[in-house]
Amino acid sequence: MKREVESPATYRAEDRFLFIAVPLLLPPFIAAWLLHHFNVHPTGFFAVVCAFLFTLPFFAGIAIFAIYLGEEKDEFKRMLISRALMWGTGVTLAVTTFWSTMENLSVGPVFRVRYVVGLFMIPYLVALFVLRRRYR
Amino acid sequence: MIRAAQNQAQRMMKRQVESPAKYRMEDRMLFIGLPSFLLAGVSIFLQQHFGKDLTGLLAAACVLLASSPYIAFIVLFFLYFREERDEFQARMLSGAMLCAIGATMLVTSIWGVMEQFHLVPVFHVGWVMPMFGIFYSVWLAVQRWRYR
Repeated sequence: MKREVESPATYRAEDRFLFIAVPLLLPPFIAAWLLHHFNVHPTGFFAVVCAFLFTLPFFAGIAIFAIYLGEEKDEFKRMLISRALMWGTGVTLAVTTFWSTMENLSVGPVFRVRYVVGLFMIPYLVALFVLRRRYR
Repeated sequence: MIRAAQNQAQRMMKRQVESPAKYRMEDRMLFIGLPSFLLAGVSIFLQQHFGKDLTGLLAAACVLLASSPYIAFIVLFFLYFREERDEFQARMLSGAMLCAIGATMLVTSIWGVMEQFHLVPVFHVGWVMPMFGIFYSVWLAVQRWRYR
């Protein structure tokens, strides 16, 4: 009785995550282990292939999320997610802009671009949690 | 006389009436967004006056002043989003924003990994916002063209 029935789009997204995104986590781990084990420093085309392998889960995650948002028919859920995404976007853009000014003035350390995804995820998840609590 | 009235009516029909939220955003842009560029100008003046190697409170003030136009625009845009009651407009803008953030995340994650392999130069984090802006504008133009 307590089990919340989700929308079909959510179930489809869960399936995609389970059968596409999760298995795609394996190739980067295998590649990282191989590179570490054989002490290989990839260059040229091989490095591009490695970079592609490492970013494969990100590709899948973003694509699955985009498909989910396209399929979701529940307007309220869409609104919650897009608001949380907006918070994530706003905070990310504000922090990166602020940090770049700090870098220009040699005040802070260099902000590596690979941390942008992490920076986006934190305010997004916090906003989603807060919005869900608010509309409980 | 009748022709003049017809012309007037045609002109009025052609003039697109925007939502109140849009008018409010335009006002805010004019009275908050544009003056914030002056603050950035003050920051540039301070940097030139005291040299590039600023420290302490002055450095913090310069950073705040220099990034104030960007922060102001983000806040103004966010306020506009909250106030916009036209579902179609809001949906189109949020769709463009979501696509832009997705594309930005993709590019930054790929570039980040390529940076680790020393394939590409270091991506200055200040380019994240312009990149987002380009993706956003392109996607918005595509959507407007689609629903024209």
